[in-house]
Amino acid sequence: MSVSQETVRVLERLTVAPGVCELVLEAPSLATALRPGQFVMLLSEAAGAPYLARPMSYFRRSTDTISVLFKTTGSGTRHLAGLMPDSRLRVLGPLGRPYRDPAPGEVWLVGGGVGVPPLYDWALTLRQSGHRVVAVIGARTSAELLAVEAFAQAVDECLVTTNDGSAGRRAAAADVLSDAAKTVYACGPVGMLRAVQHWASGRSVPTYLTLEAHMACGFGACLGCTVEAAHPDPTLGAYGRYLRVCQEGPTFLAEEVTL
Amino acid sequence: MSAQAVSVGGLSLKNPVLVASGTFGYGREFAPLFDLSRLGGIMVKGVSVTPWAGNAGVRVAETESGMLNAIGLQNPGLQHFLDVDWPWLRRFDTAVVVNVVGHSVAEYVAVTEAVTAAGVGAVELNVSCPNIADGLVFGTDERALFGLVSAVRKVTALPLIVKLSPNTSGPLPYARAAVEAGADALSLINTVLGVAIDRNSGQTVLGNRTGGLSGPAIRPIALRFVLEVAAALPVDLIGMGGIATAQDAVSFLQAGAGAVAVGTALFRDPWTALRIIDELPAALSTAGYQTVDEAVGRAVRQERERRDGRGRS
Repeated sequence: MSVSQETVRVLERLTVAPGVCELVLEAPSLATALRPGQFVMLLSEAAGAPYLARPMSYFRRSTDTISVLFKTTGSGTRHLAGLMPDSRLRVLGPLGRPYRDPAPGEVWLVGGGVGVPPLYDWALTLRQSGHRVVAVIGARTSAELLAVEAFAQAVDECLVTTNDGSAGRRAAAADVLSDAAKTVYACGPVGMLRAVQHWASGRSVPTYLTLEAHMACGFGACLGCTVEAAHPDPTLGAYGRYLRVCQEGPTFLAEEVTL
Repeated sequence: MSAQAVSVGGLSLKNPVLVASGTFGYGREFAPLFDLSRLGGIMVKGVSVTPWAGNAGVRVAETESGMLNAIGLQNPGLQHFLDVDWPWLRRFDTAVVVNVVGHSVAEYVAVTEAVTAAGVGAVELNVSCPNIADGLVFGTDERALFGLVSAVRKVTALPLIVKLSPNTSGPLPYARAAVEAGADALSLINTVLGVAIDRNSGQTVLGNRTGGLSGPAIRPIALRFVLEVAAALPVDLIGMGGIATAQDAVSFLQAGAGAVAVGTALFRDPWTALRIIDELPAALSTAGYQTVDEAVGRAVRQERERRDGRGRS
């Protein structure tokens, strides 16, 4: 389906954890069109709202709703977190490339902090297509763990890690990756992604990293969301140094990008 | 000629609404969204003689009513434009204006010569990008600007547009230099230099430290530049800076622009330019005009009288 922008209604606003909010949006056509790994741009036209739209992976979806899960970090997310049910948002999507299919064998999903949302619907999809799925949900501390119960129900095995040991294993999420993993999908803070990238180097396990970036447009026009290419296309000269997170991503093979 | 058609610096446009350089790529990202032939014109992203990588680090930051960017003119270069982008773009029934960037007069001349030979609609010299090390040299030095525009003028018979910087004490010396050197029209304005500081780190947000402010926040600045130049010089103007509605477009026409370009608004809503094109006839008619030309420069006469009155006293 081609990209469109529609005005949708906020159905529910759930406070999932302190400073973390889930907005459920009535968006039937997007709920059908979005594929796991894609994202949307959320734009509020309310007074005082930021000028640009916010890129967000979708978290859950039903037949006619999608939800987004995010932490309040700046003025944009603070505004979104303050939206009451029945407010309206404009949503542009679907954007970005969907997840690429896994290799045969066990699939590991590694979500750190507020990086878990895009992995959830992918977990459901992978299970439906018969893959054994292991999820690693990590955070600095137990209070920052997100969606553990949802993942525990969705996957075959769910491992929890915290840096301070307040829940699950005292470890960084990337540290519990095992050779049982035949494909890895990771989304989270850049430090975690670098650790996953490090784990993947020297292994022939397809490892996909979903990146976040400052974005103005979300559809490839502004060149604002670039990431350095690890192996620039030599035919492009200097132009090949950067890839667009919104267009070539948001998910890259670990060896494709320099973080 | 339809009531929407205009001519700016010798460039014929089916309607007075273009899309601004740097906000539309080479059209490819927008083509799946709407028919590019509906646009008055496309001012493509800056083209340099060799590919440019653009800036490292964070490239965009948000501000109230606008955004800062420090992209750094990332572009695939002249050869890519000639081989890939132009053959694809020329199928659309819209004026294609090639924005030309460079580090030296020779680079601007080389790109202009090549795109002129390729048959594009017009050339726009970007002498005012705040995001490259030497980007402001031509735009903030009248003599350098005169030299650059004169050199480029010698190699092209296409409508030659010069995009001026607002990061000066005023537009007139630069506008005069460009016109005397042979520019057919001026684009007003490029982005306004600014800085964003991260509240947590206390450091600049943008990798390049400074960036160019665009969006509705700069609209009054752009209107001032248009009005001031329109009142002083007989040169065609393309107004840009925060245009997001048909009423904004009418304001720029009244201030003296013969056409307008939509930029940053396309990032929040890629259909903005189309909506302005659709709504412009009604907005003009509400303001009492039958054609675009009737609206152009309505505010200029008053500006001239004010200036001349002051001149005599």
